[in-house]
Amino acid sequence: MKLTIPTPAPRVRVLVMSVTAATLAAIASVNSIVLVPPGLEPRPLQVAGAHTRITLELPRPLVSDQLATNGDYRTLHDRTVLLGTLLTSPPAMRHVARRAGIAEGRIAAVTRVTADVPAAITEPDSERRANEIREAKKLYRLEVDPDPQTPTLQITTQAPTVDEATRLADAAAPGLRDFNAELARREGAVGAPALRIQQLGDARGAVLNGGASAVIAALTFVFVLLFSLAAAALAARLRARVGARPGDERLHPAGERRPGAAARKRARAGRAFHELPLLLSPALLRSPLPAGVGGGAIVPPRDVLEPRDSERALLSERLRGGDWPRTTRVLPWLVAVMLAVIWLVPFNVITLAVPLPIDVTFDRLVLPLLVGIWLLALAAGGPHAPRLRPTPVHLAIAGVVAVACLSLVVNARDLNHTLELMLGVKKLALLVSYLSMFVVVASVVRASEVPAFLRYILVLTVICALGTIWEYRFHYNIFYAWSDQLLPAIFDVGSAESSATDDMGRRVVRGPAQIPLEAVAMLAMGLPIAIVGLIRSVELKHRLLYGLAAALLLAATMSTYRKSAFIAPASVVLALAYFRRRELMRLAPLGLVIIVMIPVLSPGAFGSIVSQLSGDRLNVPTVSDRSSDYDAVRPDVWSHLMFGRGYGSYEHTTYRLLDQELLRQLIEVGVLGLAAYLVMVGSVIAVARRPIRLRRPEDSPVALIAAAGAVGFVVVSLLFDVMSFPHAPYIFLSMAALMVAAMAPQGRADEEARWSS
Amino acid sequence: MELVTILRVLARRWAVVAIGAALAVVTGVTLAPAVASKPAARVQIKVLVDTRASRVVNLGDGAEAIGTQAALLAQAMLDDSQRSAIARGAGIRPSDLGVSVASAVPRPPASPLKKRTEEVAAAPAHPFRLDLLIQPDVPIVTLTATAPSPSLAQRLAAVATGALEAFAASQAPTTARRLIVRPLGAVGSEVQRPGASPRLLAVGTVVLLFVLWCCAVIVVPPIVRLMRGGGGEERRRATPTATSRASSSSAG
Repeated sequence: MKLTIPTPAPRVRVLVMSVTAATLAAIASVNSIVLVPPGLEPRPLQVAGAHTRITLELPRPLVSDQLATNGDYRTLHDRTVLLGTLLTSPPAMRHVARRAGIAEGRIAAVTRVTADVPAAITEPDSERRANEIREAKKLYRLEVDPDPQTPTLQITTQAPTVDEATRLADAAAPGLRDFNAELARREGAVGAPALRIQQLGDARGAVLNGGASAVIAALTFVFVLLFSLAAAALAARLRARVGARPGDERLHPAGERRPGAAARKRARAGRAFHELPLLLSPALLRSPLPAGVGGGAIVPPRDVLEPRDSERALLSERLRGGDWPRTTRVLPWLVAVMLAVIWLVPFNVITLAVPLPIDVTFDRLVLPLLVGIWLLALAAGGPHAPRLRPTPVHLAIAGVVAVACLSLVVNARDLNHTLELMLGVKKLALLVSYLSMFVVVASVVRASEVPAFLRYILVLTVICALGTIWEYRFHYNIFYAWSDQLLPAIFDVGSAESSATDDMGRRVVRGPAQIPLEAVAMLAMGLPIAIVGLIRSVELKHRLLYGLAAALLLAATMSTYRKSAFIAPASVVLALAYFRRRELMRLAPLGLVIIVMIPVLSPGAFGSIVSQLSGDRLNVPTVSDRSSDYDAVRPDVWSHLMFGRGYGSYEHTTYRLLDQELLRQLIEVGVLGLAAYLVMVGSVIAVARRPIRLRRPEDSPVALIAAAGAVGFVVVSLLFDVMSFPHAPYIFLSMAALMVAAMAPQGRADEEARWSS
Repeated sequence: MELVTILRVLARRWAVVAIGAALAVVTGVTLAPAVASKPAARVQIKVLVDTRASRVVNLGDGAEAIGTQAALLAQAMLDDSQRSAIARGAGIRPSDLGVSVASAVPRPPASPLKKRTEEVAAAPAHPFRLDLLIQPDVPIVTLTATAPSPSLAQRLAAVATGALEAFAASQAPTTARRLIVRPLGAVGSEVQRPGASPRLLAVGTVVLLFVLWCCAVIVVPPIVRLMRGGGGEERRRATPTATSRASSSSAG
């Protein structure tokens, strides 16, 4: 009897190999390999911190003297700030290091500016930042924060162990006293009245990054696993392509002749990519196989080429479910709810008032529900299951996530040392949530539903615009106020002071967004729906309605009082003009009417923005800060040119407020990440070009909208850090998803009728 | 419609779902009381730092820096000697008492190191806590005492107020110029449980585990089928089919 050893299935084999590679990479990420004796040595990844306070007092205490004056305390406070700054100078640090028993050169010491001055003044320029980058690598750190109100210094230290961190913090006060005494000796001031330097209690220390090793290992494992699986899938696809050269008539495994590439191309042209997932859906995999095929559940390739009756049956059954909004399918309705949240709810400032390890904003309650049901529906299969249609946009988006993840994996140890790793991981999760919205919408919405969704989005955009204009005119933000009134008390809704002004005296009108620029981005990306509707309208009634919508959107954009309110809509209109010059020229008279309507709807706003753009008023902080960013970020860019310093790790409150998404991308994810970001936006335009050129009624309108929205998104990426404010990325990706959904060719005839109506 | 499909899948595998439900209930009921946090009592007292001839009613000169002095008096409670004195007065071990001082003054953004250190330091590791809140330019300090029982919290708050007063007296240059501490009475006293109650926690755990189990029931089989599908394909590659066997035998 012959013993046969069963061979593992190819997919299992790939999975096992990938898991093995990922496990090895994860182990290597937190351990270093020691040759003699051979073994693994855990990398020193622990970071401990300690904190204490030092208070300064005159020899005659003032703390309980009712005759003490503000002048006394101002003088004392100024001396405290001076001593706090001197404490981190090399002569004083020599004493501190000696007291702590740590080599002086291994301690990075910094005194932070805590005075109440504009942030732009305290932001590091390129020289200071270069020094900070160099110092950040040191194992020990001492930070001094002079208290802005009292003569107190807050001392925070970092070291590999709690004991060392505490020792370093406890050495600050005696070190400062030693420094003062040495200075007094040198200046011949021994015996003169000196300040009393008193530490308020022993330093308290703790490990600051518990579980960091696990996080780094898990991050590495996930990245390597997904990367190797993707590489294997790509290799399999390439192998299949190579094996399918014209004239290749190899025997197929099932004993059938494999069709040539030409035949498959013909088949693809006839059936398009959207049906592939249908064939791969669990329902079909479970369906009975044709006679003569046994031993597995895979549909033979011959069936891929010719639509089967079962497929037609599935297709018709799916269509029986009805199109949104006349459908009983849950997922399109959930998508509609999510879109309403995106356009009308200031979800980023609405948090769940329950102590949880993560901040749960409102969108993080709705989106997981949508994604969860989507995943279950995908797994359960059936005629109404979402259909995944891989497109170049999907690939580009996957590339952005992959590069973001890679930047964190590459910089994990450095970020762990600066305590920024968890911040990066959280931002990565946020990025995945943005992108999951794209995947869900692209797979849930049917091509025949896209026009209805676009009309729905236009309605939401107009409501958003009306609310913004209302806020501008009546100093009342309905989005914030109504969210506060409608949501139960378990939610904390942030406040929006509609009468507030910024440093330059401009009103802060933000609509449902967090900042005015975010509102500009939202409205600018909604504008193409109105303009494309205007282009395509035949009836006067429709034309008037779309024109009114466009006027409202433009007026709302202007009411934000931002210069970007000119730039962002202009970029969108120019993008549309590039593709549809003649049609837009025909609408020029209507355009003039719309421009006249803007000052009527938002009186004063238009003129204010025009005056901001005049040459003598361009030398304002919002302009000079932006231009100073380019020089200031050079050290960050050059020190991590290819992969950046780690996705999501450049916190503006810690370093510098960057008024440009592209610069942020360059710093955080390097040249590679910036390229991936631009490719993601470019892929939407590239995919949209063909339907726009072909002027197909079923998908050219949405392609135009998505392409113009993409251009608008790139332009606002040059104006502010758009990915830090979730409304704009959600809107851009949902538009792109609708375009992808519309390009599925099924139901084109129905589509044509809908658009023409 | 998708929900109907999902429910159908679950109904087909009702036995597995039932096992999951039972496991979720057992785990939730067993685990929740163990992980639920213990209740803690909190007493809040406000104290006014004032001059002997109360500055509230006397508009005379002096004590213009009293807001800063109130903040410094509060900060002095961080000192180990003060902390030990308060603990002794309240009849608890000094190591069981944590003291923190926070300011309502808007602060500049902290560095990641300072932010994280403050987060870790603020974690309620001590059974007894004394949190002092100071306000800008207002000579009022809010003391919040946290203890396992209301009486202990009350005592801790009273002792802390006394310690604040004693420290102010000890630092005064003369009795006439000293600042005094006037308690404004307990403004709040409550027993609360940080986090959810055991019952709520149990219900939450059961629901969460059951939902996760149902998700697994739906998601795992297609993945397994996907894997097996690859195996089936390979088996087909390895095993000659009836057609190929027939053709090879005829050729032979």
